[in-house]
Amino acid sequence: MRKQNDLAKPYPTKAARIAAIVLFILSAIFIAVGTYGWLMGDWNIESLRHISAKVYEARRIARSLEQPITGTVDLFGEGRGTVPLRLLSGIMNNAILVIILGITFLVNAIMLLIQPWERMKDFFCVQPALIFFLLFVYYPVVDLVRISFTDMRMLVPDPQEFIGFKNYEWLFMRTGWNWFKESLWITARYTFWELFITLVGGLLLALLFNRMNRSFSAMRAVVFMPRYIAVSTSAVVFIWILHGNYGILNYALSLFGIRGPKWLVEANTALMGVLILTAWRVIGYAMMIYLSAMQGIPKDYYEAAAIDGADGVQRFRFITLPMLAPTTLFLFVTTFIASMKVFQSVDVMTGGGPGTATNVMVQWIYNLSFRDFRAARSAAVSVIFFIILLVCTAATMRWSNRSVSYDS
Amino acid sequence: MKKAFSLLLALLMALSAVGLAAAQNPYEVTEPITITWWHAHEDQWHPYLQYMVEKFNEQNPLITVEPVYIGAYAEINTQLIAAIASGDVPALCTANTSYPPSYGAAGICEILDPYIAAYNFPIEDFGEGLIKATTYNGQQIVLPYLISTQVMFYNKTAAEAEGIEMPKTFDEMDAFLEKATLFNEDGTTKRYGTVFGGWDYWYYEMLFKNNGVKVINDDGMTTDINGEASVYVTTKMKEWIDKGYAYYAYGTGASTDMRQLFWDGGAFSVFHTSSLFDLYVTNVGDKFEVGMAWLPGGMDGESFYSEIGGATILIPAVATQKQKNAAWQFMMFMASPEINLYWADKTGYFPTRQSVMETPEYAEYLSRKPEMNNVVSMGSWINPRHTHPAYDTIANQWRHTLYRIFNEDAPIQATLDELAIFIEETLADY
Repeated sequence: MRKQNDLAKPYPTKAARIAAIVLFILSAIFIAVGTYGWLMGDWNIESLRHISAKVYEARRIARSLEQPITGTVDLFGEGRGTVPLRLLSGIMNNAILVIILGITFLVNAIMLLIQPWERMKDFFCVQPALIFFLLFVYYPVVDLVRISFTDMRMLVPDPQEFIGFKNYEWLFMRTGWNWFKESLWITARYTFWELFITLVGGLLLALLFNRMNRSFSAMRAVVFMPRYIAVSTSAVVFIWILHGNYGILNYALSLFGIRGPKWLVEANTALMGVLILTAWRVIGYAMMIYLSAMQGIPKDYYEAAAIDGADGVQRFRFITLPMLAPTTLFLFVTTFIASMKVFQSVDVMTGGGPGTATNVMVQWIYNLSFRDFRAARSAAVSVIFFIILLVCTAATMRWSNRSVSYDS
Repeated sequence: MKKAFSLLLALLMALSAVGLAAAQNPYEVTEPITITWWHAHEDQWHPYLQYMVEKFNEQNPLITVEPVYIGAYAEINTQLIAAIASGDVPALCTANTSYPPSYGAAGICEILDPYIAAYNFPIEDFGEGLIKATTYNGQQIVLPYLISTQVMFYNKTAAEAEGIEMPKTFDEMDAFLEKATLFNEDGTTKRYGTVFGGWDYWYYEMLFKNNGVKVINDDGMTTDINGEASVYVTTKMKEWIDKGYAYYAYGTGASTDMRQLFWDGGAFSVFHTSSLFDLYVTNVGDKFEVGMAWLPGGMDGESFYSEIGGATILIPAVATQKQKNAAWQFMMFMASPEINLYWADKTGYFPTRQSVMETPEYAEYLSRKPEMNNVVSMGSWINPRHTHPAYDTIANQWRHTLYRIFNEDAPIQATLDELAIFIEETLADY
């Protein structure tokens, strides 16, 4: 009843209006100051370079002497007032945080004006999470785009120059294009096989292990276990398992008279080598997800089908498979995204080689940054790769909304 | 009274002179400090490394050095870049001899010239070549403390028994490989004549360079990697690989495989680094005697160059002055004649200080390791590495290209032409 009364009150109230005005002022100050610091630091705007250069020099000296930054700078022209370099350095360092705080004040001010206090309480509760997301999820994406327009190199920590679309020109119109095409093709092949292993292998294993007794339960645990082992650890072990001369896999093959290849050294088998590790890791997880979904399918359906004379294959085809569609979609989307971003296993097992045989997109992005030191090019590739992932995921979701039934 | 006053005055003057001297040297360590040293020295060298660090810590009570093994040179490079970006750097870092040009261009290293001047450190004792290899734009940015070069290890016992002479020049390679390679009855290779270390371009690049190939031409903008000489050398290497005389050790575990193959007698010789001489001798054990030969020179019979390998030590420019001062003390210690010879003796590296080579200890060391003479006697042919900041990127691409040619039968000229485009485009970016 009280709530209804509150809602019935006209808003904004006078107090809310005053608070909103204060927040508007604060937001304007924070956004302006933060933007100034951002333009001076990350954006390295030419008209502000004479000031940022002084800040960098002051930082260098302070770091070297292990003392706080000292000195001032004529921010508004000679004789019009000075600002401590320490404050400017702080603003440059924390520009994004200051801007995000400014945006938060702004949003709160607007919300105060358009909704009652009771609803504001709910809004306050979600704000820490929103700020976290803005700072650690969305800002890095924005900054990635910014870097892709600069000449940033990993070895040069100082401010970067803006070079327009040059990195994209390199990517689409110069040597980058061949690398990009090749890397995308390798990633697509890897993704296809990981999806195949996850969906088909996981489903087959789930059908096999869909028995509720103790021995099967233990076996399920054994199959699922690899998921808990760190990728890099298992990758090192698999390097030895797949070793051409001393590996246990080739030894096992030799018992059947088969001469195994040098899995990770030959171009035509290296990706397969990485996929062997992938299969070992992912198949148990897919099996568990499918198993839990299978447990949820009502037994009545099978009983009714059996009464109607449906055999096992028909029951699987017309009951199990359609009922598992949402699970398959879930596994498809999550596996698709994860496998497109595969890195750790490739990096440890092959480093993208031999040649470029396993040079998947993320490995290439990593090599651009940490081997060739071309962070800006790496950012340009990342931006395009991000867009590709976004489009593929959106398309999959759109398609699934039309094709997958969630009715049980 | 006058005498006493004069004495007091003299004492005061002396004290102030000492005080002035101390004030003039801003690189002194005046308070206790612990510094971290990132290095890339594997397990087999840890006891010697520990011995040196402990000795330094004993001699320098104000400084405690904590060595941290980061990984191979490439890994340490990655970690250093990340550390610099974050501003939290070690006081000292080991770097492969290929990195200083890039580091110098990026201003990553502390310029050592003021420290050298302040301590009258005898930098000229390293010799012209080493100084050139460790400076950037005429400024000393790193100190060389472990130096090696490319060599061929070979089975000396088999060479003597089978009358096999190590090739002096590239055109002697055909006859050498024919003699050194053994085949099984089914035509497969039983013992490779040689193995080219393909996991790092450094191991084979002199075969090209001694034959006149310039990966980066003097203009700094073009390459002749697809020129006649390069195509010829590539074709010959491909021919040897196809015939089963040699193989290109490339990919995961290539280094380990190559060593093991040699130790097991599956390869007559390998292209590797002199720094691993002791490791080879230890692992071969009593099976056969290990020889160490200079690389085959150019076909002109006049070019026998090799390039510096091994490790340099640097101070990151973003370290604090206190860290830098302590780090410099450790650097001087590591590059001191005594430690220089100790390292050389315990590993396969050779001394970097010329003054060491005139000592009786050095003569004794050579008498115990006569194979080192083959390298030391050619010391004047050892050159600094290429100093272009893009060289590492370019040469790595070259390494992958050779893999495609040797192992995937990619057409030689067309593939090298592709590489040339990549190189020239990369150079245009710098």
